[in-house]
Amino acid sequence: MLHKKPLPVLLVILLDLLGIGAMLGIFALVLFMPQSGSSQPLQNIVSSNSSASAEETSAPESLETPSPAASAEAAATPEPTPTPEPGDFSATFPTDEPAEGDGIFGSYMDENLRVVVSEKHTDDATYYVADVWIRNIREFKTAFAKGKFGRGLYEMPSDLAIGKSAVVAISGDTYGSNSQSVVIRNGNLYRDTVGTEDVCILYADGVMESYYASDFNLDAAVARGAFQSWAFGPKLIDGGQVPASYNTTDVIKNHNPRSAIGYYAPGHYCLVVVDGRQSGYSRGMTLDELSQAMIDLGCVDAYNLDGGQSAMLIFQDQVVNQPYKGGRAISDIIYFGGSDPE
Amino acid sequence: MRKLRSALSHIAIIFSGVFITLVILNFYNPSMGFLTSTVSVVYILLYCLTVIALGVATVADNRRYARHMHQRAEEAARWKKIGSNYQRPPQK
Repeated sequence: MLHKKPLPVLLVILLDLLGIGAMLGIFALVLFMPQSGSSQPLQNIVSSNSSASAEETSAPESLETPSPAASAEAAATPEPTPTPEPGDFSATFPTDEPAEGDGIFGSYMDENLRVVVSEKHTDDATYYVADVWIRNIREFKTAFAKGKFGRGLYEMPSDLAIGKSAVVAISGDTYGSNSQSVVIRNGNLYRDTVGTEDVCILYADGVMESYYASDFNLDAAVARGAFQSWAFGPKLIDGGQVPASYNTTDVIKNHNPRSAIGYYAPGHYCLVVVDGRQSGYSRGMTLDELSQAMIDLGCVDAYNLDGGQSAMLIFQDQVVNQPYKGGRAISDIIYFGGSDPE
Repeated sequence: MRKLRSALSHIAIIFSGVFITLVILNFYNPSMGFLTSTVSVVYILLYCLTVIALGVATVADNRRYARHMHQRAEEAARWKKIGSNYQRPPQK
């Protein structure tokens, strides 16, 4: 039997490499192709008329005719002050005008929102902090790229923010690149699969808490009234301290451009964007440095969002920071002011 | 069988290359789900099936070769026995 002459080794290697390239191409096509699934939420967690229902329940009216004794008691009892509904931060909302001064990039104030954007520096990093006060949880908004929930949908954060007429906006967690992360936006549950990332939840009562992936319970979060969620991470503050370790890889822990959200108290938050990978201007921050910066700002909890080239802070239609390579299209933003979410 | 083993070997090499690339990408951006997405799971499944098929083909080939060698050894021993029984007449 006459054996065929084998192909040259280099040709065989080349064919194998071509095969690897083809398989990676198919992988990228499937992973990044926009998927035409349902963009409707799976569940409405916090209904849009919760304010009205809370108002109704705060002053219940009795239909029974009161007895004379009860009437006397009622007359003696002082008129109770209505308890603010969860998500109403009128009691703590500041009324003073934001101060202008050194390091202040800009400020904004209306009856529901107060924003002060300031520029800060460390030895080798420049970062921007948007200090945000809201009167009601409804002012804390998120928006999807292309206006709908779905994988593989991307838009520049600045375009998204301008489209929403946002006062201030920051890049989100790019949920659309991942199929294994919980997505709760504006009180609606869109995806109920919990991945391996740490999770951050903003509850309807204004409390923001970040969880290690192993500690997170979606059912408990939904039952408590989760209003927004992010699944990128890692968690940046653990018991008021810089965490001993982070749930991410060493490459992510190194100096990088960053975006993060911090929590002071219900109704008071901060958005932080760190510029990086630009020698002579800003190197970026390690996760340890970012954690320390958030603690120094006074945050009691903080969470890392999609950084790198995605990190972008927009204030009144203007990109505040210098995004690495001009930024890139992502899946979502967090924004305050402007039009309501879809 | 040899052609099948050769094809399976190349498929295994290609999948290995793909996974080495995905592991490196995942190291730089774990949130993209390079190793946890549905298509990754499908690739892992295909890779496992390829490696199982290659393994089965290799083991079957080895067994066939061993059986063949055993038969050849037995045959050689038989011929040796026949050879030893055959007494050449003493030379005068």
